[in-house]
Amino acid sequence: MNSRITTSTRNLTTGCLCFGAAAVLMVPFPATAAGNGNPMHGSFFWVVIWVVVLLVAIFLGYLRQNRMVHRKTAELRRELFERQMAEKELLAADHKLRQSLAEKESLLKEIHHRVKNNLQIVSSLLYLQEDYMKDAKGVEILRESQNRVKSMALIHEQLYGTADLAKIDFGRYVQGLAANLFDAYGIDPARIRLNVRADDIALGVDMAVPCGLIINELVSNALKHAFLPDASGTIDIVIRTRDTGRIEIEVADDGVGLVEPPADVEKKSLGLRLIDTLTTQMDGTLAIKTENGTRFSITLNAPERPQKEF
Amino acid sequence: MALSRKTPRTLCVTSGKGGVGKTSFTVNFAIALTRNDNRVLVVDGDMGLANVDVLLRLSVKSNIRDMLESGADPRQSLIFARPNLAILPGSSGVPEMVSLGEKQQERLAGFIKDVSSDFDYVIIDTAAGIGASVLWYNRFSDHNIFILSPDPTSMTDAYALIKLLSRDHGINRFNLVLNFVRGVREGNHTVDTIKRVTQRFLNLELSHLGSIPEDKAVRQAVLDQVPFIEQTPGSKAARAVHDLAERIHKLI
Repeated sequence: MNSRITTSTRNLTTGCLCFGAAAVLMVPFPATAAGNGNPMHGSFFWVVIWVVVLLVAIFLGYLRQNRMVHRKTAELRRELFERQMAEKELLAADHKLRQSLAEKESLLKEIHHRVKNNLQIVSSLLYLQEDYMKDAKGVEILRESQNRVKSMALIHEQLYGTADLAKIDFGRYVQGLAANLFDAYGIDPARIRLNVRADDIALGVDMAVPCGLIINELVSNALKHAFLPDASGTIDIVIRTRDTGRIEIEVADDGVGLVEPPADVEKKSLGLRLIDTLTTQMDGTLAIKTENGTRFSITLNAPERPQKEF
Repeated sequence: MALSRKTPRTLCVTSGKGGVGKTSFTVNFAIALTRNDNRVLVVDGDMGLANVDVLLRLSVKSNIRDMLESGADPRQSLIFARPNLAILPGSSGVPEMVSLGEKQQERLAGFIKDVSSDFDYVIIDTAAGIGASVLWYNRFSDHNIFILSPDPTSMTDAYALIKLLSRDHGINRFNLVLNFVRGVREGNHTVDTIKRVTQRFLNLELSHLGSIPEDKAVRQAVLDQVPFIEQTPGSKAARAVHDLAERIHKLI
């Protein structure tokens, strides 16, 4: 309100000044104003009047523009300040989110570490129990159980050791898993060669654990039964993605071949039952070929388009 | 001075940024409040670089540091600068006083409560920044007065302190006093800007108590170590501080 009054007063003052200036200019030309003087003087008078009017208009325009510039500058300053504050707030929120994410990642790593440790303890307990087992079959069952537990522990070990806590590099995992099994069964890698070929596949824990158990059973089975005691051979593990988005896991050996597995579920070994059950659970299909050894081929639905995220 | 057992009203003068005129405002505002026969205690809460005594040309014998460290009597530390105006001086050049521990804070609270029972108003002049003592004084006080200048850095620092106090210390009422204002338009613009930002990001409404215009008399008074409200009572700044004192006295 005050500023409006001030502006009106200023305009009025300017108007009065202009009127005064015009009046002063008219004083030397009273005759011209009355129409009795030299016509040349009359034109000069009107030129002066127009010049004065023009100058006044320019002056008023300048005042108006100046006021507008001030107002706009103030608005821009306010906007700039608000933007700066918004930026600060965003940075603070971003920092907070990053901090929270880091805390959660750290917590998740700790959980994976503990799960792995606990699974290793279970595996060690099974190992200790072997000493109290007189029956060779019983010892073998305990050892197989150890390997199954270890295959799961390896997943958690790999998860807390990498940057991505949600996905596991499945190729690397399978390499480690097979090496563990070779070690557990005391196999000389020079006698039975291992070839692992894997596409870049990153799997979540939900899928990596059953897939790991399946491969554990297939490789264990090959190491135990495919090769005669002194015979050499090769185990191939191939993991690839299909265009359909499905994952194919293939475990093949060039050993003595497979005796036809019993059709009755109850009569199957635990390993084969596990493979059947886990494949069905993941909506997969199992195919077995027994030419030049044994080739297990399992095709599974990937939960999402498989890709490596590093 | 007659003793009064009425609970004094505690006001904390704060800003975030330094150099916006907190101490000068505190001293002159306190003097303005005494005009209504109010008894006013000014606590120099700038624990590291106190200078209320400098502005009033006072000779300090013991200060808050002596009270806390040597157990000096708080009443003995008070300096009566004017008939109804007492000063509790702060310490200067003592870094460890800037961040008081919890026990020291409790003791200081006890001292201030003890001496303030004789007064109607306790005005605390805080340090600049967001140090522990600044936050504590803000929590300790019943009301706060944020001094800010139209300078964007002053607004930014005030906003940062307001955010900290509202988010971490449960303070939701903030009162603004603008200092060094050149014209009504600039004052309104500054208030609008800070209000819009706090409303948008903190969902807080600020209360604008008034503005003190830029005045050469203020600078001269600081150089002369005399409160401008006494040196040039008719100056624009002095009149504005009187108006503010009247308004705040009625409000609280």
